Amino acid sequence: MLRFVATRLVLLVVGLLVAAALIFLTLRVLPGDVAQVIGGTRASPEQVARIRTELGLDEPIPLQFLDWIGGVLRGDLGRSLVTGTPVAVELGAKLAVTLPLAGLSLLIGLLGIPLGVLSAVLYRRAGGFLIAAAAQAIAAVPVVFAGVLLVLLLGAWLRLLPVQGFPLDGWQEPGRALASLVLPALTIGIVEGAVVLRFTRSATLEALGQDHVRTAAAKGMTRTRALLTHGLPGVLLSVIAVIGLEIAALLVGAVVVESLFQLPGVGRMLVTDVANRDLVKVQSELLVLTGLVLVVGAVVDVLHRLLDPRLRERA
Amino acid sequence: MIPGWAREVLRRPAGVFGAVVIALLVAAAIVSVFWTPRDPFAADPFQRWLGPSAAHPFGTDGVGRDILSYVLAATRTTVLVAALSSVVAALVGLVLAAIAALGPRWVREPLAVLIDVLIAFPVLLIAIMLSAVLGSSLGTVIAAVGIGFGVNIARVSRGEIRRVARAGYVLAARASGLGPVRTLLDHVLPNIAPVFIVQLSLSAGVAVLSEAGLSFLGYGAPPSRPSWGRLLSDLQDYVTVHPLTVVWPGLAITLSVLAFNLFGDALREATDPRLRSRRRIAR
Repeated sequence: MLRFVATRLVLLVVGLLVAAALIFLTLRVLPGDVAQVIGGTRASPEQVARIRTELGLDEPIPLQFLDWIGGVLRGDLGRSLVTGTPVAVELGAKLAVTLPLAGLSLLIGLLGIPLGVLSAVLYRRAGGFLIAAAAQAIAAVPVVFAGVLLVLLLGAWLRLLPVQGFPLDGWQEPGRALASLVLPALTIGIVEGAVVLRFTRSATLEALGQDHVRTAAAKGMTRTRALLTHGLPGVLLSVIAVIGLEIAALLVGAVVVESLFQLPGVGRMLVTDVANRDLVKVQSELLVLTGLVLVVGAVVDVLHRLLDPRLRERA
Repeated sequence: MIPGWAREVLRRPAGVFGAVVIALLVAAAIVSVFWTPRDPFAADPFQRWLGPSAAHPFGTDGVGRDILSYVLAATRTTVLVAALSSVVAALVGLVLAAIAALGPRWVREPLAVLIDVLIAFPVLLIAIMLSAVLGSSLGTVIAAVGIGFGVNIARVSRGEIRRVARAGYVLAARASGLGPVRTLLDHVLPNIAPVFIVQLSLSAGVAVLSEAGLSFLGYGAPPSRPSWGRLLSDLQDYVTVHPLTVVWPGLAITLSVLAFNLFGDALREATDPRLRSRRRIAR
């Protein structure tokens, strides 16, 4: 087990480095001079040259990369090319919106697990079919459309929830902050929950066909009981692996949803900074987002291994 | 005439639904090149925000364009994005999978790690990254989906290629002097085709969803090209005043993605004998 964790940790570090290199290299082939963009069209060549030196854009690319990675390790993500404020401070503030949003969406999305089991147990009955069909349809809805429909239903017509924005004073009033996250989280959570539901359903259907579950049923248990006591543990364990992927999808969903609901999160920050060509911020934001995905993936892998005896035996 | 798997797919309601909607999409895309009820771009300031009527079955938008014509014209973009990004995804996936499955050990293992890292880059982030570099265009969307989903295909196909490559008939082909590339094309690929086509169908769905998301963020199609995602994001600003208008592009996207997903699922069931027997077991 310890060996597994160690290997996984090494892989994670390698993965983070590869991800950082990919992001860095992709952004460095940017056509157009960043210094010129910052200086504006009226900057003289001397001014542009000064900006280049200041930003270290004249150094060789490997050196620039090492500078950046070294800074990241020290918690220094550089300064915005446009406003000059430290990126780390702003990023921290934005994560205070994005992470709770992702967490809340995950909680909603997890409802897909019991519903998925239910729809599998009700296989070939109207209820099971309806749940599965609804999930299939919802999984095909683009996040923007889902958000718009929810805004109409819960925000505009029923007037239950705030439709847009986030309190300016952040989490000073936790109730208000949370309320403004509910609609966005529902938007992501319902769509991702549908994906979780579909996976849980097919895993449960498979479990129903497994020998030990059928044997338990043959020895007098009802099929549902046999599933719950003998089949479900296996199902839940394979669902864990999917949850890891879903968390990645949640973070990406956040990029779109934050723009739709005008939430001051990392996703909206990224979109704005790409428009401004604020390279330093963009590369750090991309690294933080993909880093989160990689770390979550590693944690889920380790958890999966820890909980699933089938994987342990194979090792 | 019709291959066995296609007949299996068409025996399922989901498969029929998928196939019919996809056929309609392609037909609408072709027809819209030559004919739409009205000019999809013709703005008419006196006809803004009209409700559905005989003249404008889907109503008009904020500049007085006929929504039905625009939605029809935008089918082209959807079909184009879905088809081209599937082609790119197929190429990326196949090349990566073939090298990662059959290449020498020192290439294989780093590549496996690279594929795992690339999978952590969601399609949307790849697209945003590429847009930062190349600017926004349909090509960026296609490249992003192609790379992002291609990596997924690579991961799924890699194991499959390895399994098939060990089979007796492949060994026999190699032993009788067939080169590695020919063996791959003639004997390995046809045998992983089912797995592959399922993935392509799913990637088309991802492509349509991504185009919608990216157009909303402003990274998708340029304004000169009609797109459902752009229409949806244009209309959503006025959704509380004109709620019905967003339904058309929203439904169009949902139906297309649903069709690709259902077609892929039906195909998977039709080609995977393990899933085919499930119906019997679960009863």
